[in-house]
Amino acid sequence: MRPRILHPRARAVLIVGALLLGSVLLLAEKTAAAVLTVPYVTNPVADADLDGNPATGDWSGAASTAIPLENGEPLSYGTATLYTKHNGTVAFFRIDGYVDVPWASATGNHFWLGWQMSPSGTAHHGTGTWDGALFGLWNGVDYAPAATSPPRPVDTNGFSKPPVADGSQDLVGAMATAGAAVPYAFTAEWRRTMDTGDPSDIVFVPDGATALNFFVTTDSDGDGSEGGAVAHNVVTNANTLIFGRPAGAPPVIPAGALVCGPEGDPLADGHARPLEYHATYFDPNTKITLYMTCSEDPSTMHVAIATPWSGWASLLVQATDSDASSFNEVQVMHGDEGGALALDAYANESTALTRDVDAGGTQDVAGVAHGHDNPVHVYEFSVPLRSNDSLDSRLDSVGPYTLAIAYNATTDSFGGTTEGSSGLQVFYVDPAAGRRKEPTTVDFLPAPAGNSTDGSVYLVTLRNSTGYPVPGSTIYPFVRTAFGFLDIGPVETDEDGVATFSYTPLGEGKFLVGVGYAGGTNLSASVAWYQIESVGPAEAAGAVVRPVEAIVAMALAGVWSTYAYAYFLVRQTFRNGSPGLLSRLRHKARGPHVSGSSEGGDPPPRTGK
Amino acid sequence: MDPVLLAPLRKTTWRFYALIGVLAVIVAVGAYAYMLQMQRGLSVTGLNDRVSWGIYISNFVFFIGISHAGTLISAILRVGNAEWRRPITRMAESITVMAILVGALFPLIDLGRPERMFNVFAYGRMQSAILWDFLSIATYLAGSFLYLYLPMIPDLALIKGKVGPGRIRSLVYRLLGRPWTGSGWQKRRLERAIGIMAIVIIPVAISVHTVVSWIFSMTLRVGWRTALFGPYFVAGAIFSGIATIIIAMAIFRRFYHLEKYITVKHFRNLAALLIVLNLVMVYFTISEYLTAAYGAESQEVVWLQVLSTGPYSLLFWFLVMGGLVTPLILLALRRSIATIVAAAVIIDIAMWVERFLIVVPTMMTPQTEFQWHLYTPTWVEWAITAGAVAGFALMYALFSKVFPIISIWEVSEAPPEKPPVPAPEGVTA
Repeated sequence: MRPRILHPRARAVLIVGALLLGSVLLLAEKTAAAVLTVPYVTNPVADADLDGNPATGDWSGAASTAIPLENGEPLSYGTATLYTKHNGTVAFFRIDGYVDVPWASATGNHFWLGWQMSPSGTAHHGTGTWDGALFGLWNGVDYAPAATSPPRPVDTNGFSKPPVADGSQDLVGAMATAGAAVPYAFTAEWRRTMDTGDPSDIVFVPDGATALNFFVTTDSDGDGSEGGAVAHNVVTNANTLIFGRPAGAPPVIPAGALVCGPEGDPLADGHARPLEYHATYFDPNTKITLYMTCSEDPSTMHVAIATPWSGWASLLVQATDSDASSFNEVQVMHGDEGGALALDAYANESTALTRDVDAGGTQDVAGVAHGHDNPVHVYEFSVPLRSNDSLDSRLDSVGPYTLAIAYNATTDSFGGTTEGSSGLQVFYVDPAAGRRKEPTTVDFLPAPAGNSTDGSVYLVTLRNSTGYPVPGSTIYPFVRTAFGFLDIGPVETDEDGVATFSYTPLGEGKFLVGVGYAGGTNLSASVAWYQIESVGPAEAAGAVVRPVEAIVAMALAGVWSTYAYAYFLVRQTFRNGSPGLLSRLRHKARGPHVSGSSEGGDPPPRTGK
Repeated sequence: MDPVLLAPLRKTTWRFYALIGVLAVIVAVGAYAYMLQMQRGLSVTGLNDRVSWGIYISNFVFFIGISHAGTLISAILRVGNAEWRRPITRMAESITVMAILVGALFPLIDLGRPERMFNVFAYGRMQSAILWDFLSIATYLAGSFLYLYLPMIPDLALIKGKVGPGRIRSLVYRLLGRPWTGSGWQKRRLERAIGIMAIVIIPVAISVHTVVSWIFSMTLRVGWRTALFGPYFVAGAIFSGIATIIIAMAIFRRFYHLEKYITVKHFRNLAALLIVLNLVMVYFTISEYLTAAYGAESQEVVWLQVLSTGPYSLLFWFLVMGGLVTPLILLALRRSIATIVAAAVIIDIAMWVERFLIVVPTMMTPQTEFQWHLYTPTWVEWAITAGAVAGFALMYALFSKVFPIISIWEVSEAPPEKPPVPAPEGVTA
């Protein structure tokens, strides 16, 4: 019987169909990058339930989505499900997936699950900020202490292999596997405070707008991309996470963000009163305090700058919604008679600072006032936020935007170089925020006498508007010197809102010491100044001899004494060539010498002259 | 007393006045340039906030370096009882004093506002290498003055009344010479005092240039931060000092007709010392650069590139080939006076370049992420440098006209020489 042979056309159709089906299947197996908004909830997951057991814990209200795992695997090994939610203070994460090896013990296989987050637009393995969570063991470079079983998350930063563990571990959770055979199911659960205060951690801003990229990956033997049944070997960072704003709930204002909300127009009299302004920011770099508020439209931003510097101070505000590299800069300084001067200018990456009026725009700074609250100069002014002048700011949305404050202390005219800058800060224009940053006060007092034997110890207290202490907050003490300000901190407030620092002035005189609180979540900044008078360091009982100085002094004294002795030796010969009294007496004591000897012969007679 | 020794004091030719005139003009130009700098500030120089030390500090290090000449020749050879030193000790000791005086001016010139020098006293801190430098140079200067003066006492007594009219000179001789009778007791006292000074001035001189080196090596800058700098600076100082002595000897020998006192033997003995120091400098140079190149720290690599292939590569290779290799070849192959003097001139120039290359390229090497900033000395700096060199030469020339440039007393006290060994063939005096 002859074998049946397919017609060539039929064969071609079959092949093409198989290819199409295969590609569809393959493509279907590749999960698309996820875009997920983390919803605001009021029901958190208890810490005890973050145990890697999907059956425990209240995950209701969480958003979930399938996310591709960056291990290049199809089917179940290549996809996981992400559950996430936040309550405005804490964010919760859970990942359910499959792996080809179980986690059996603390020293078992090197299966690991890695989570990495970054600001939007960061390339995989690229430079920039990375904040991660890693469960499991890294082959040969295990985190110390050795992972427990089930493994806890390690809070990481950076993109080294493995990522560097943060100094402050801010994650709580665990990962566990289940099942008797492959594929083993794994669940990783953890939570993290939205704003940990750790500079290694990315701040989660629940504004419904700030996007963070993230990716998740697994590796079954710890070798990364270098082998193993399941290996981390894909290089995208394409998933996006946005933390949603609580509906109807007041906005959470991150510590570093200002919100320009409506408080009514402040009185432009050269005195900045915190209650006049919606938000206050103290910059530890420049020692300048910035007060901000907006009109209700919001077309106008009212600003006060309290600066301890002479010369000019300036506020740079992002010029438009879309262009973060262009700035409207307002420089202010006081005139010779104490009045306020202001300059409205514009700059971007390709254009140096240009006065608006020189570039066809208009001078739009209004209500400029200057006051001197010793030791700071206070400048109040208003700038348009939605100006029709193309050289001014036009910020049409809530933000976030960037601003900066800067100064030049050694000039008496506008322009010139910037001597100090705060760097870019985030702020929002959100008149609907409806909540101001709460004013705080920082008080600075010398400690009672006898409190410390090592220099002078100063107490700083930080309190909110109701007088309650603000614990765990960073205070920046600094002292004025001939070259600017010298930082002598930072220090942190204790549970009573009290921080201490030591400062011993070198020498006598008056020293201006300042303490600043940069502001926190929902808290405005505050600054206090104190003038201390030093009568010089106390005299130590008895002389304090420092070895190096003593040795140098002795050596110099020895050398100069030798010079003096050598000169004295010859000086004696100037007495008409005869020895002086001492030498004659010494010679007499020795007794007469035999004449003609070359050594110690009779001294020549003293001849008068 | 040989009239040749007093001839320079008795008679002055038109050539000397012409030389003084030329040197005075150069000094005047330098003084004008400094006045300009005082009026307008350091902006008239090529110094900037990146390269804040330039040829002023190079000159400072160079002049302090050649001041080691007096210490080596006079003190070390005196302690070692090298009798051949006697005719040249005063030349060496006077170079020391004048070189310190000129060299010590340069930090003041570099300071811009010289009154700030008083801050060293008002706010001096023992932790500062600058203060160590100030103290050590002041001590060295005082010791050098004394060490120059003491052996001069018998000569001043000897020549007062023999030199001829001149109220100022007579007054100087009378004041400085004092009653010197030449008695055995006086001589013993003087010898003892000079011997004590010779011993104490050696560690002082070594400490001076070591402390000068610490101004650089106590910083954290690449190219400076090396423990080798102390001995490197001292060796370089002695090296340039000997070369300067040789040049001075050749000039005085030629123009003051001192062939009888400054002989080929002096040149050859100093040439032998030059060869030794040359080899030491080669050793230190190789050690320093090889260590940096082998470690290959990123900043040191940049610094080495600046030196070897960058804007100062010409100077660097001149230093290596011209300053270290060529003199060795010259001195090894042919040791006539002319060759030795030529080698000495090359060495002095090369050692100035070496000081420049120590100071400037390191300051140019970025320590943080900012742009390179080249340093180019302006005419003001060159004029002041020329003025200082001319001032040094002027002081030296005037000194030789007021005081005997050869120590008459020491030469007369020399023990009788052994019969000379016949010179080998082919050697020219």
